[in-house]
Amino acid sequence: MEVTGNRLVSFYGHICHQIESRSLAMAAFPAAVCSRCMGVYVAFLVGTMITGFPFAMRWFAGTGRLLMIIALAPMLLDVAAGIIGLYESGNATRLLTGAWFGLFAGICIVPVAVDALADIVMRQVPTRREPLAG
Amino acid sequence: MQGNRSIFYYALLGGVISGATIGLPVLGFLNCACCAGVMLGGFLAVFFAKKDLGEEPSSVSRTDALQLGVLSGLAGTVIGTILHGIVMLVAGDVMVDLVSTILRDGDLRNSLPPELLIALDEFMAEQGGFSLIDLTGHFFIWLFLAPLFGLVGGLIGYSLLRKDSQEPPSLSSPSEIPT
Repeated sequence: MEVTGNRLVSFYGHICHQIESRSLAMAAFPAAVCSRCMGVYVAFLVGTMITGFPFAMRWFAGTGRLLMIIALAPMLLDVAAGIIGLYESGNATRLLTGAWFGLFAGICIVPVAVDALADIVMRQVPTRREPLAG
Repeated sequence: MQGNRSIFYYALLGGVISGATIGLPVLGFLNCACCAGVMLGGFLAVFFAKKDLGEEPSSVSRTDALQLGVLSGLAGTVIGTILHGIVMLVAGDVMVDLVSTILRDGDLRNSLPPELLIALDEFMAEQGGFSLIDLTGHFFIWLFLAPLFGLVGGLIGYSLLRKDSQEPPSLSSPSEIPT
């Protein structure tokens, strides 16, 4: 069990810095990804689930570009402010800005991905010919 | 996708950026933020294609964006693994020397955050020189991760660069697929 856990943590090390002070912990064990990444992944899953409800998707119809800007802006501002030393964001801020991005990214990206895959499938499937009349 | 250049050309452009962030030591820190470097590669592949082919809706479709993202990730994996191998062969010792200098220098050591020192200690513990097994492991891990995050980058690029009137987000209903 511990070996599998270590391997999983090592795997996630490729996509996250895993700094302990920037990660959420459960029973003194830090998560395999930092709080921002965790916010992104969990909220992306929630955003993906929201795309399953057509009435919810109607609110976002035709707002793809704006939605992506709204999604990215808080996280990029938070990161930029940290880099230039304006302020040091805490785990809560990181989690929230990551979740904000993940939620809207899921809502924006998943329908496009599904439509693109459907386009590819439709290209592969030959269209059924109607029998000639008479 | 319409135009003189193939989709592979733009995917390769994105792949070079992804590969640099996968294989080079300093740029590699970009991937510590949800694979931002690989996503940037997918995004830029779509950006370059869109820039060359114009703003028309038919120039870069959502299918093209998806394919550009995945292909840039695949190209990035190959380029990144080659770069990683070269860095390990040529500059592996230089990196170890640099890190050990940092760790030995008392003033420098005190000025660094403890988390970074732990990470540097772990880096030193993992150093075993060039190994073909490590390189193969590196290749297969990124073969899984890079196309996935490249795809996300490509679709972020498509969503950001398109006009909102073009192909609004709507899940395809199963009835649209011909039987």
